[in-house]
Amino acid sequence: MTPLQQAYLQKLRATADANAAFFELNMPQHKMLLDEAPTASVDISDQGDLVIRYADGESRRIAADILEMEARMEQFADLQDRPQILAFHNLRKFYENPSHGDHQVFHYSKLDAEYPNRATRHFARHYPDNSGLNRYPSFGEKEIPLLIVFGSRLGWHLPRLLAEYKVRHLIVIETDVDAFRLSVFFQDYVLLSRLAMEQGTDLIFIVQSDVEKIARSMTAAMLKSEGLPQFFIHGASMFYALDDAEMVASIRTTIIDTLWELFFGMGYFDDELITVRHTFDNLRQRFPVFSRPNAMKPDAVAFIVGSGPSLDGLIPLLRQYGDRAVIFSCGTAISILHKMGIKPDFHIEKERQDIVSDILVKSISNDLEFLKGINFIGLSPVYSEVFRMFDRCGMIIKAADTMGALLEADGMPGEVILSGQPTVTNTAIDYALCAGFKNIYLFGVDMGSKDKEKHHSQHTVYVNLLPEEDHLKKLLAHQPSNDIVVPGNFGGEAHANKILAFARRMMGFMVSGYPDAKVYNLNDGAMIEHTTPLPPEEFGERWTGGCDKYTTVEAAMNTFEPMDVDLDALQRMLLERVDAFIAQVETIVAKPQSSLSEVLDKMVEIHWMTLAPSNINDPCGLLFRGTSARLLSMAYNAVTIIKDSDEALAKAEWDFANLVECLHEARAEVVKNLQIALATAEQ
Amino acid sequence: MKIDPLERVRLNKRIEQAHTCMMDGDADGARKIFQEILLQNPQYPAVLHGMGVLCAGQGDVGEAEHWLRQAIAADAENALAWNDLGEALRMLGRGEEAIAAYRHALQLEPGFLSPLNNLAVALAGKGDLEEAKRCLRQAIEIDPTDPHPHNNLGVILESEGQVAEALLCYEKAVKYKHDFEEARQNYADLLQRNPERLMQAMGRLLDDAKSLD
Repeated sequence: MTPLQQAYLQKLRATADANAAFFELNMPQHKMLLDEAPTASVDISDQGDLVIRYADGESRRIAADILEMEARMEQFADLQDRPQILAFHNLRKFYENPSHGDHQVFHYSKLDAEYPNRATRHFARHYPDNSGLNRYPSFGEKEIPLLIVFGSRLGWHLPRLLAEYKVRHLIVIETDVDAFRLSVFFQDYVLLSRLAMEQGTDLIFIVQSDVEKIARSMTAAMLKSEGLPQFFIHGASMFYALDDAEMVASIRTTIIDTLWELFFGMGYFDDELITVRHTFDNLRQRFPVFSRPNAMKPDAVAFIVGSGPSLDGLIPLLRQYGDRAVIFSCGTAISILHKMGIKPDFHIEKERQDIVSDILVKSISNDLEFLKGINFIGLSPVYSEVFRMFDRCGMIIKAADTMGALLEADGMPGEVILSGQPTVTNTAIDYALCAGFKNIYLFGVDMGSKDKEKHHSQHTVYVNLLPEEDHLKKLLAHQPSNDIVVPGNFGGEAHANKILAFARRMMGFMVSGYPDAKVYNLNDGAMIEHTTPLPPEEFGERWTGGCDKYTTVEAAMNTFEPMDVDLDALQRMLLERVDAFIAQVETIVAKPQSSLSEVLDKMVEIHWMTLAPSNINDPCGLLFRGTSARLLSMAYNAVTIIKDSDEALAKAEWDFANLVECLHEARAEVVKNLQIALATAEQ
Repeated sequence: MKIDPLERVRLNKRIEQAHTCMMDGDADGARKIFQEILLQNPQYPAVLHGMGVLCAGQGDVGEAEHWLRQAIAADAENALAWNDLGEALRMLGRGEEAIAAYRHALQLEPGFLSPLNNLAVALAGKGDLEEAKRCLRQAIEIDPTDPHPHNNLGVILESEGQVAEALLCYEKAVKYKHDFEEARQNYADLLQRNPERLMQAMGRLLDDAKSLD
């Protein structure tokens, strides 16, 4: 090897070593990827000509790689040709019917229908056709709020992009770990990171071959400290440094799909208002509140019954062993149990609409006698009439909920405020684990099905009342993929939809928090992490004899106790927080805006108010998060396609005013509904 | 009047077109644009104001007063409209009313130079030279590079026989606006009447020229 070759290789290794140290310090997850050497090798000719030889026998001259990236940089500079992601709203499509369709009749307010509609009407009035509009979002020649780079290659393009454009968030996605390993020999990531800091760019690397995980990493990046609003994905610019069109298309689709999940759980004001009114009403009626965790005896056994398709085959087991366990019926499962003549010890509901009481009655064919002797557990937003249908009841304060957050701020211990999301079986498992059940058996909790079309027992008349789902389907123009393949509980694969896949993950996460509890999954559905798959035919071998039903039911009921809450003080606290929240938004809105960039700053600031770690569990963050995100995203979509910059600023002014007006009307609705709850108290 | 910001932007762009017409001497073009806007937005203050300025420019000062008063009725906070109303009233020979209008403009916007300068002229017209000089000095303090208060102050000082001070004022007016014909004429006339001041003036000009190096 010539001195030049030696010196050059030394230089490359020094760069790789510096990068490894940098990643170890700043992004340890990527350092692990670098612990292995790349399969490709570098050849250096006598003249110092660098060539990369790949494992598959292909080779590439490095100079050619640089020139190719230069050509792509030139192509990227052309605004007309620059690829962008289009994700959201049809800005001219307003809904004469409420935005959450049939569910609107269950709400006490219509703000989530009215204000987005006002925004679309305003847009349609001023832009009845495409004149005056860009086809794609435009931020000017150099400003790029979000740039997604597909492929690290040898890294030449990254500093160029950072230096030439004003990028707020740069996400580099590399699906080929080996390519990333190779890039550290050529790209100085330390300098790149410094350049990003200098430019005020948030630099994120996602090195991952699993497309699903890429989307999740992206979601996490968006939610991390000072992250970008999820609606910035619309109009995001893309730079293709890799040639695998199929892979890129797959990543694009998955990212857009995953956005649906970003909205999931954000809620919306009209829905949160129900929780405010119902929880105040339920507290006023002094329904006992779950307040004694870990109170069950070690032998306590819980049978949690959902309405998944496996339940049909598990009914004999339920009959045979049900007298030695506490049976929790979850939501529509009561219909099946009623048909089968099996009386559960507890029935659990989580849905907040007042129609739940009617559905419940219908699902047991108006046989109200059946409810006698059944104890009821409801999440705090459940309608009070449902609690009153049962002889005894208990209420679980719901987490990630305006009232749950308010009660926690008022001093309620966080450990008894339960997530219970997104399905009612999650609620049941959360409760059973937190109450102290150490032996839990899941019946009909499939979380996915071997048969794509079959998600529920054949015996259930399933009424889908998940308001978020319907709302979000309309919210996002792009329909989420509704078939997610997950590992099967007894091997093979199972098909889940978005909600079940989310519910499955949440369940696994919740179980992982109780390592001393054994949760047996008897269902031929999806595998749930941290549970033990238990084929029904092996049930008898594992059965430890169960527990005394009567004493265990009583012990479970004793985990609930009436709670003294000063409702006037709680009401004042909520309104003070609402006022402070609105005042803060108004302060942000009142800041001068002379450029699109300043408008985006305001949007980020308002959005961040509801999602900052300090506000993630703030009552107002929860109350307004979804609604403000929706109005802001509509504003973002509009202002970024309006050609005339003065008009774009004026549109932003109108949209911000619309948001502020919506918040004021929301406050009035809160006051009105609190008055109704208190008036009910006086009657 | 609360107006949709997008509509406001679009109307203002039309009004800018009308202003361009006025600057180009196309009064008919400007009037046509204003009238089109008035058909849709009869109370839009900027158009009412524009009509007032257009009429004044064409010599129809009575009509100008009518439009300007409408503009003020639609937006009483518009200091420029109050100033322009003052100008129309001054042109109509209603000095006291003009002074009141300028003062109103200054109440709304205390640092607004145009009404301050106009007020000084109106005050001087009715013989209140001390108050006029105070206004002009205030204007100069706010913006020392505005040539008009310098010129006007020069005129008052000249009338009071303060030749040296008056010459200095005219010099500054010309310095900040080389093509300010009225100030140049005032300066030339005063020097002609006071040739003994010529060498001093030349010296100052040379000092200025040196300071440019």
